[in-house]
Amino acid sequence: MTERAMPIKNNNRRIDFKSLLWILPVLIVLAFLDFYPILEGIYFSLTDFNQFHFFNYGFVGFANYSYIFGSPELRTVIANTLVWSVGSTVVMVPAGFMLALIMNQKNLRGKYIYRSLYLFPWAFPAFLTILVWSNMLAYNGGVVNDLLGLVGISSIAWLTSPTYAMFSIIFVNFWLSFPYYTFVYTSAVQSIPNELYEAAEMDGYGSLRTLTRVTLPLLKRQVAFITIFGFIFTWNNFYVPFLLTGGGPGISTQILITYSYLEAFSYSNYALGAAYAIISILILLVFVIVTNHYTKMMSILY
Amino acid sequence: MSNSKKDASKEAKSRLLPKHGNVFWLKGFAVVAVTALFILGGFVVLFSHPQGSGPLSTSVPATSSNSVTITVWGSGSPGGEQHVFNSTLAYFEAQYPNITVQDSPAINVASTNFASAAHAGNAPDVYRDTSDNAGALYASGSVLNLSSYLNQSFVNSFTTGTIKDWTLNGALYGVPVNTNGVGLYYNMKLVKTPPKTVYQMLQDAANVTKNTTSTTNTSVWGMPYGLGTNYGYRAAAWFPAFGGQIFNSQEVPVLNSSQDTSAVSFLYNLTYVKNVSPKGLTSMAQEQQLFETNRSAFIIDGPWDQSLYTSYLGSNLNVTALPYDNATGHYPAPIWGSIGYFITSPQASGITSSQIWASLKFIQFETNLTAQKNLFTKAGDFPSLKAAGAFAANQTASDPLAAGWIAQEAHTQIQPNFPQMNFYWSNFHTYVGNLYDNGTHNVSSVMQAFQNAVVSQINQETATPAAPVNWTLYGGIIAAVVIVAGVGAFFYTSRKKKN
Repeated sequence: MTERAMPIKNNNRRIDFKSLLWILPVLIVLAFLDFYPILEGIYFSLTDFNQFHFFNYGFVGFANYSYIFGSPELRTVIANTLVWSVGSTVVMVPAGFMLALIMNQKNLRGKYIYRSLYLFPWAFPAFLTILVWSNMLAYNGGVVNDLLGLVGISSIAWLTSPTYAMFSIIFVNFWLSFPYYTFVYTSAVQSIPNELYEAAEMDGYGSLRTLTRVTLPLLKRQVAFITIFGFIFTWNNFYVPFLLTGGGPGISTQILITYSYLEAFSYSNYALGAAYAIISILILLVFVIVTNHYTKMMSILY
Repeated sequence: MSNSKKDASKEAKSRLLPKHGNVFWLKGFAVVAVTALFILGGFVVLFSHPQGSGPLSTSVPATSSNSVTITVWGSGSPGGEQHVFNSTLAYFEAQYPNITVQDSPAINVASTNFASAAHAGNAPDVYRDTSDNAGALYASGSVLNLSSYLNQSFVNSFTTGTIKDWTLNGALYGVPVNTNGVGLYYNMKLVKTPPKTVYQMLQDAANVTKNTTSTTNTSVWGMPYGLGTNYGYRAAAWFPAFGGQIFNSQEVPVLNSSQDTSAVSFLYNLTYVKNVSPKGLTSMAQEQQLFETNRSAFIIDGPWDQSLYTSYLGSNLNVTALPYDNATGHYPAPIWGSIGYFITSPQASGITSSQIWASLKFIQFETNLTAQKNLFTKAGDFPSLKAAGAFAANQTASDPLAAGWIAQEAHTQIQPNFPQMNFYWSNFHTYVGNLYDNGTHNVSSVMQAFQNAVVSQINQETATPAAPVNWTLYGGIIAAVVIVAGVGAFFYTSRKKKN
């Protein structure tokens, strides 16, 4: 037996009850705030809980899932969710990163004013911002179309054309979200020791080389984590498509989470709504596991 | 790195990091605890939901001298309706000092909060809601059947239409406090006399639009109509004008009928053929904005927005019935719905017999003649009581708008209040709204898709057989999962130990 094995064997025999006591509150909170609602959602998705079977609902196995997988809407809604999540993430995360780099420049004057200004879209109540954008993007009398009209471009149905509606919600989401990512990246960039930048400067590195040789390698895991986090958050971001287009026109901006709401609260089909939500969670879970396998982005949490 | 350095590093790590054994046991404990909580939670979820029991029948005392507290959700729109609600409530509490009313005025009609609360058994005792939403809630078992609690003379004091609005399968499930629908508002600055036919209405709208259209811009529109707005509420008025309907007498949707297709084509053509409505209208607010600022001649809307229009247009505002369709020989018939009060079932709220007694007194008070007269004069609500209706009719001389509403009331349809109606609203928005947004001209295929969606959803919700839960089977499955997980965990941890 090696020296190293001895303490393991000894420690295995000893349960540290005090430690267990410390984690018990966390487990209890998790059980009620996380596990119970998830279990409830899974359970509802396996029943016929709807307006016709509100109190007298029963177990129907995977009938709801079978209905969903047979419905022509599912493919469109999943495609919309992917376009919405990927489209938003690839714009807002790099924009936040670039803005953070700009704001952290040593010789930048008035950076505190800029920081206050770019915080504004994020601090402003989101539903009001969406309302303002809804008016700005209106086909008739919207300021965007009025400006286009000044340069001879005819009005565009930003919110009511299937071609432009998704673009519009991604754009408004970008406007709402980029300050948050800028702040997150600002703290990440500031965590890099200044000595490394000074050394790079002494070695004659230019801005681009400093970025690719110093900043990016040191922030690799943070970038991966923030990107995945941004993707997950956007995937479940309900209020922009719901308030701006209501999922329309048709179902061209319906994403899984808004479609789940539609089924549950517009059609009072709570079971089907729960099944859509579970499908959304499962797709997201698979995506995160696969991504984590390749990027190890979760290691930032360990 | 030399061996001594490696050893030093290992020693440092062993001091800083928790002992491996402790971590192992903590992990083991966490796995067991989480599994146990999942299983426990699963059983809690399975057993905590009510299964198989219907609404309870409850006897109500004739009087109650004990103190009773009832909860009420909804008091109407801010302004006139809430003012009348509060003043009526003050009288009620003075007359019944033993009844305390806890009201939550901020909760609107058709709130999604109600279903969640009812399912959890925490619904209020009384809810102010629309007759159609309440109908679906009655079908769900959340609402009390009031037929046996209210005497026939009380029921007969209300108009036949509003009582029909609140009756489903022979059961009266609420008491109406008003009745309303949509009519045709017009700006007398732009249209001098109200149109009597659809043809006249289109002519007026076309003239207004044409006279204000330059080569690049239209400043005043004849009849802005966003087909996707209002979720088909206003559009429903036009199905009867073409001889159509939403559901037939067997409560089966007939949205793909040639009549309904013609009605939607007519509304679609306002924008794309007649050019009297702008494209891209996404909300009622946009139509209202045009009407309020003298930039449109007509708007189809209800009396709930009348005070708003009056504040903008003053004496230029008038309202008339949706005009007769001279081509089809039918009148448009707006859905003539009703708002009222219902009492929740014991299953939904845990209401007691004395609370039912207090709730009955409360809703009878809030819907009485004085309250309805006040609602008519202060909020413009059309009464559901016959006597209050007569009072409203007498006001016609002093209120020119009332004449228009009385004319409209002669051509209406009862609000469908069976649960299948739920599938009409959002599907209309999705399918017909998309038709308007895209300008595709393919009304027939859209109406077929609309019909298919409604039928599919009705079948999905009603036809799914609810099998009783076989607890032995599921208990066995859970036990099997636990055993397999336990054996797996044992082998896994054994292998870890060996490593």
